Amino acid sequence: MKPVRTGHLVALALVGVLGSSCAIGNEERRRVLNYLDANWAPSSEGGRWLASPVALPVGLLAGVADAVVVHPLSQIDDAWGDTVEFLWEFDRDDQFRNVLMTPLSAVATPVVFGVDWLGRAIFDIDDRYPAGDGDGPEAGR
Amino acid sequence: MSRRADRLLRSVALAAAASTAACSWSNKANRPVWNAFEQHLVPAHDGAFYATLPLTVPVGLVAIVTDAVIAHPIQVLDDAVGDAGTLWNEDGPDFQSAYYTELAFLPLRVVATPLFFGGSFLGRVLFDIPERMSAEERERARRQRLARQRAAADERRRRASERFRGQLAAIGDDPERTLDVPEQWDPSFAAPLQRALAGSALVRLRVHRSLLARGYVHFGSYDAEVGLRDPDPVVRHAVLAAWPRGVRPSPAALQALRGDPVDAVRELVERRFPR
Repeated sequence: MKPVRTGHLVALALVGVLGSSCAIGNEERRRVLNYLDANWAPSSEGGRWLASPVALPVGLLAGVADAVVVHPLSQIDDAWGDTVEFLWEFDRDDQFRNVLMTPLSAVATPVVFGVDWLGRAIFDIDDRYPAGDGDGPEAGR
Repeated sequence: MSRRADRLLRSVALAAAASTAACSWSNKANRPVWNAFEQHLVPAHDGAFYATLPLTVPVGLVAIVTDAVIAHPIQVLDDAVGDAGTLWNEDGPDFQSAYYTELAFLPLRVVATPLFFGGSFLGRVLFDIPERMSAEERERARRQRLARQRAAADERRRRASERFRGQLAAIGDDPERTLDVPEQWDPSFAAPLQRALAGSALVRLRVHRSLLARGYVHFGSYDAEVGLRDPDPVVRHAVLAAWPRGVRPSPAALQALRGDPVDAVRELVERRFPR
């Protein structure tokens, strides 16, 4: 087997980050970067030039944190909602269907959840409930 | 690899490229040379048409190749540039309001731009990809997408509301059926919910447990404290047991439960909400 070269790993990481950018290409999905932009950006143009050698790696790290940690975490509830809707919302009054579907749904739940979550973590898939809709589990409580 | 196998592989690759090129070529708009040739140089009369076939067929083939290799690639060049340009803001980097974001994306954009241009150009040369939309068209498409998204959310909400209303209406016939409590309150739930809460103890128990299982202490006109004051001690006990952690009932409700005539209720309230 050929040894894995550093160049391959870098290329793979680049592809991953570029792929992840599908999700973080959406401004709403870059919480860490948005926080830095709003609170830690130098106000003057000279300051921005001076700070750029530090700000660039910090910005890259923040982008990676958004893509790899924060955005995937924020998609868990949506992935779970998709899974429940896809696998568990069947007519529970039909006893036979209940008996038939429950074990199948149970087996498929981690697979569907995992794939859905991965998809939502990587790509910019619409949230189940658009923001500002007053919708979601918190509403009405 | 032998020379013959190498040649065969090249031929297959060429044939594949030629056949995929047909994808873009299949659209008449992508064949400017062939269209011009057909319109201006191919005779319309039957006699002349057949007589000139030995000349028009090879020239036509040259026109096809010219379209596939030169004319259509030139046609899509600006679209590919436009595609690559989407990686950059139209007005240049916005360091004033998105300093870290612009810096973080800068190296990625620099690396991705030629790759994106190459991929887009190759894709547009080979396949019949629609031309880039103008800013207004993009905005219109975005609005349509948002409208579709909202319509889908509304439809999901409507179906969930309908199911819940139906279940509330029928719960008297089968108090053990599960209630699928929706995520958003709808005023149309108020009347059937009130009727269900005025029903038998078993029905009241099921309604309270279903709502509390979703974490709803308040849900529109519903107030779970009604369950803590229920005349049936089994309902009071069940509501208390299902009460969400981290939410404390009102002092008046707790006071009443601490003086409950049933031991199990008093013991449970002391365990769940110690003084």
